[in-house]
Amino acid sequence: MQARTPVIGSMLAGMTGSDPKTELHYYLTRARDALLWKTDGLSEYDVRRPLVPTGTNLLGLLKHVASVAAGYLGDCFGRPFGEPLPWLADDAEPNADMWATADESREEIVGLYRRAWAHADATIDAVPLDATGMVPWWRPEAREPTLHRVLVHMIAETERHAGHADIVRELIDGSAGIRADRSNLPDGDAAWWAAHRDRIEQAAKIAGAR
Amino acid sequence: MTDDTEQTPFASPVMAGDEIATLLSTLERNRRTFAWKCGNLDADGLRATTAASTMTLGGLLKHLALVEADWFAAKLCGEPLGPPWDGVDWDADPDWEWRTAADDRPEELYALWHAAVARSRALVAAALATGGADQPARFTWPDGRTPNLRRVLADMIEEYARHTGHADLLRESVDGLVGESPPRP
Repeated sequence: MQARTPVIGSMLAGMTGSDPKTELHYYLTRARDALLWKTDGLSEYDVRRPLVPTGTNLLGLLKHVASVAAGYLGDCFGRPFGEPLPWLADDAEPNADMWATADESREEIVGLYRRAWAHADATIDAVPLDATGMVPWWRPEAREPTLHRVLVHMIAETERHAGHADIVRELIDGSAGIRADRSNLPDGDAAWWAAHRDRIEQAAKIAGAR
Repeated sequence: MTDDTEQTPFASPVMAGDEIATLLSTLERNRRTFAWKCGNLDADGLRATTAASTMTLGGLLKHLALVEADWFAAKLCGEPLGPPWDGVDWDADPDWEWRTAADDRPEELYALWHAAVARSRALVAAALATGGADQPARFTWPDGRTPNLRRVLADMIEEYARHTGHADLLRESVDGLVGESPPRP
């Protein structure tokens, strides 16, 4: 994603008395940047292949989150995204938004991801936090949330999918970390991590044998 | 773990409430989902790793208990982390909570997380009796910034959501349980 210098700048300026919209936008931006970063440097096969029994894969996570963002932070606030998303149609097969077909290029899906978030950014800029939208797939009594509520929802949604991407990426090539600029992990080399993993495995075996 | 729903202040996220109510109810929903993903497992389930990772569901429970204490007790309120965290040499053993979770019994891990959440709820309630989302935490980063309550709550939502994503795939590998939200009671 594009660097959002104004957002980062305001964060550095100080937290107390901060603007709620700016702050939530910051969390949303770093969530979606983390998810996209998880695909960096992977082969065409690795970025698509399923790593768990229900088929979770990195390009599918991007396709899903892009589609969801276009809805929640676009159509739901009267700002249609405008691009067809046939994998979300009523007659689409289940989970069609969660994987990339062989004909869908990585560039197309990453492009969709960037455009959907750009559209979301424009919605966030244009709509006040206390304005209400319409989310037809939520429970009837909950279908008119504020932009604030939807922003908080999208932070949680995007971070949760980034958590899926963390595990999928680690299964692909062993790499891990919270964000591109800060791993949030102990500063060990491959040998340290291999020893660390063995230590945990041993502890589990000993405890399991009791 | 599933009885946690009874204790939550909000049954589900409010849709048009004030800022604090929205943040708190979303945090509670994320806690509930996390508890469901980690819940009702035996010791083997809580210790299982995926093929590549050292992460376990038991480690996640212990880590989130620590993060609760760190953000709400230590950073927001200036209190000691409390047991079992106070005795840990974090410099020598920075992954202590992840590593030692394999030694703990399931009931210990569940109780630790529940107690941490209960403490956080009480601390937030007390903080809200005297201030709103803009109130500063007692903690200041080395660069001089001080987080406010809004930031603490947003960070905790981020923390739970990311780790629930981990729990989703770990739990799938343990016993095949999948899904977005726990069944409604």
